[in-house]
Amino acid sequence: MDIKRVSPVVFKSTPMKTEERDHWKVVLEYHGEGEGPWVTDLSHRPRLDLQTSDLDAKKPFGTKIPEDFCATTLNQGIAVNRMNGTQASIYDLASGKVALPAETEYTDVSENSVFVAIYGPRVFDICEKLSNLDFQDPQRKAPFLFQGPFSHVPCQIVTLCKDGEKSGIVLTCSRGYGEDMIHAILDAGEEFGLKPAGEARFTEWVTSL
Amino acid sequence: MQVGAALRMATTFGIMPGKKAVFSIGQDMGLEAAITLKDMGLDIELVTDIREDGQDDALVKALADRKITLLKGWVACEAHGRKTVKAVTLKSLDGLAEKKLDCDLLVASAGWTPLTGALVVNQAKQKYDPHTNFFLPTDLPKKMHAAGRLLGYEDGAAIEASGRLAGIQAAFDCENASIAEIGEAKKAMESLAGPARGAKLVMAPVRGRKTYICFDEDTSVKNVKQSIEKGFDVPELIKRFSGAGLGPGQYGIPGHNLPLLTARYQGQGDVKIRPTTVRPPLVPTRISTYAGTNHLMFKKTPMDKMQRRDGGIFRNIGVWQRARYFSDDFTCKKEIENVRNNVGMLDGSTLGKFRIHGPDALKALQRVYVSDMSKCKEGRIKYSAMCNDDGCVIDDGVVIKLGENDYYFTTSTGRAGQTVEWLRYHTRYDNWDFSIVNLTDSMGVINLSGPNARKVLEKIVDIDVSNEAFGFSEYKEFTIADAIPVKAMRLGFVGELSYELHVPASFMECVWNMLKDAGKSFKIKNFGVEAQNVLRMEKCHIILGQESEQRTNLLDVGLGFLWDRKKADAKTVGAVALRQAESDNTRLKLVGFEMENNHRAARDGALIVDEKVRGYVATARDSFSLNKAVGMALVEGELAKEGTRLAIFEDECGGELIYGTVVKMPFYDPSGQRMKM
Repeated sequence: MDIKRVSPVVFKSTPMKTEERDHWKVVLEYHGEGEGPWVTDLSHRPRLDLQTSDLDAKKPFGTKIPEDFCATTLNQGIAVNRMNGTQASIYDLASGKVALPAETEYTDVSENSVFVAIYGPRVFDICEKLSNLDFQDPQRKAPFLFQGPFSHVPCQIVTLCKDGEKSGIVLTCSRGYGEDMIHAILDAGEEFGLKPAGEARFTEWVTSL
Repeated sequence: MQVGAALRMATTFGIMPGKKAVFSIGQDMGLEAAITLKDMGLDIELVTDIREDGQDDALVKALADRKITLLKGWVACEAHGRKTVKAVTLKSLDGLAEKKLDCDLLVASAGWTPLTGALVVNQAKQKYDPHTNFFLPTDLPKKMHAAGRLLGYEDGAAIEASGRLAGIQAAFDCENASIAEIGEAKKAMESLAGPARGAKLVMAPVRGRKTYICFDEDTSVKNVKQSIEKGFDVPELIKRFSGAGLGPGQYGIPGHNLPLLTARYQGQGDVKIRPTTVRPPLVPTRISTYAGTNHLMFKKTPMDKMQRRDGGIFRNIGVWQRARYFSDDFTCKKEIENVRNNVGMLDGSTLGKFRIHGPDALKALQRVYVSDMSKCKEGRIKYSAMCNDDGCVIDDGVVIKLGENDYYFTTSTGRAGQTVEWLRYHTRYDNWDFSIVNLTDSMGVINLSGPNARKVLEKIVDIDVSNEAFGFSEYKEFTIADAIPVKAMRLGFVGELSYELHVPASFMECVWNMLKDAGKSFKIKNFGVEAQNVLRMEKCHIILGQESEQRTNLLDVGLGFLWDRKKADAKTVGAVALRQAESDNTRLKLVGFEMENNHRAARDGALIVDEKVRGYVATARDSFSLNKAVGMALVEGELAKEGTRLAIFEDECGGELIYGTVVKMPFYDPSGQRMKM
């Protein structure tokens, strides 16, 4: 039998370019991606949990863990989010270098969550319909982390950029909520022209930050 | 109709709200509206103003120019007509003069009240102002400034100037303006109109009719008088006794009128009484908020689609949607018989799953589990339970040692969300070094059960799954097709040979299909949560929440064997209470029973009674495996003896009891051979 991995995110758009990667069928581009805003499924991209009492001594994949809680470091396509005193989450946004290290403090949590990016013009108008968190908080410099509700579901949300049309967030929540979360996001984004986009567009965006 | 509504209908929607109108208003806005609507073609019979003076002279003249009669100190007391207004009765405020006029529209407003709620919740005080008749904000906290109608201004220029002053004062607070600029702004206000005279109406001059003081809570003036007569004589007490001001309009009509009425009724000429405390939310939630899109957010397992395709009937269970049945036969006879005689697949992905690691991981497990977790060996499964401080059992599951200071454990579906906090809370003073990761959604779970389970599994794996190589209560890790990592456990919750396969969620669809293909020759079938419920009940394996409630402890449900009494150092959560409960004979005990005279099973939750309630049925079903109706019940100790006759009272039984007899547990395969085969 053909071994295939299935993402918790399903879009109705027709894929134009795809790529097989570690049993995932990754969509690089969809037909009719439009002018933005966009939502991209990143569920195939590695995410790690790092927990240790000596968090400050760690430097995952050469990236410094921020000192402040809910701060994020974005370095060469890797986002490291300080969750609390002893815990950080690590997202491979575009590096392709993140693999589970041998140290036992790391846990691979890629399977645990839905992972999507919402980015482009008016992205915060969409977010505002789904969450009361202030993704454009003037007191905070992007990138930064929220651990709070999005469409009533506990999420980790990183505002990667809040600079006009380049704005965008990445969001993770429990994998089981995948179908309902995507339905909520697409419904909220319909009036703003939100369309599914492939990984290529996301990579282009995230490397431009 | 209110003034604003009449204006909106005419100016925004182009619909004249009536043909012949009477206005009963209390502020200049009402006079303006009458002039505007007259100019748009509305025939205005009369305008009455609650205020005896204080009207804007220009507006009074404009009314006169249009030949509209204005009666000052009058108010509408009664509207006549049923579906539409036919006439209105108007009275002078002293109640001595009265008029009745034919009309088809009454435009009414008793005046406005400054919406000072935002200031008041930020600790501003309010004081009655006899000129405006408003409770105006005083003693504003530092760096808080009010303007416009909040201070009683009605004149447009004065409103604007007061706004400018407040803005400059705020800028000064931020070190962006000078005292001189504040002085200039204050001076600019001096030449402008001050606060307007307000309406003094608190209640209309009517006798023998209901007059409301709070439209949200339907509180009438009579209710307020009753409250005062019973000794609740200040607005804060009246509010609690009568409900006035508890609705979303808290600082609107009731906020204004309640203290004034209270003062008047008690003969207080100088109103010292204050409005009641304003509380958030200051702005009521709009109905459109409730009516708008609100997505139902439920979790679905990785096998959701395949099970729906196979005819699964789903139910919401906590945050999850789970397949409860796979046919319209809700007794699940075929699903149950298939597991007992062949092989079935259950989606168990909703189980809580966790990794706990770090130097003090074992100590944390010892704290929350009742068993001695140091006996947890690699390659073996350890079943245990967690209790709360009262010894009441809150969770059960299995623990697996993955490596040095590294464990994987499961919890019940309902407890998964609280488990991390539970461990953190019960170790909060210990400064232990351990980490815990919730992997509930990471791993899907397939429970492959039935006498043919091994024959199906061995078709898709490369390892030896014989009873000798992979025995009961053992744990193995392997890969399928060199790609799919599997954590496999030999368990027996349903009382048959069973494998619980924990697989990364993205691979679940693949493994599910592999097992279906492998089981095709055996006619493998899905089974749902209800079939599992019956199967495990026949085996007398408990489900917490089904065979227990908040007060049920570990000993009550017969799980005392899990409790290791010797690990005193661990300070096991609930151990102290369990020691006390050990000698308590008054507690309920879990017993098995079968129904008398081949009767159907009693309903879950039915009461065990004699002269009083002596217990209740936890789960009972007609068992196809045993060919009789059996169940488990929590009963008082003296009813727990085998052979005791239990009288069962069901809802709406009309006093007709049904009976069961206490029997030995488990009902099915007492020696446990089938799950160890």
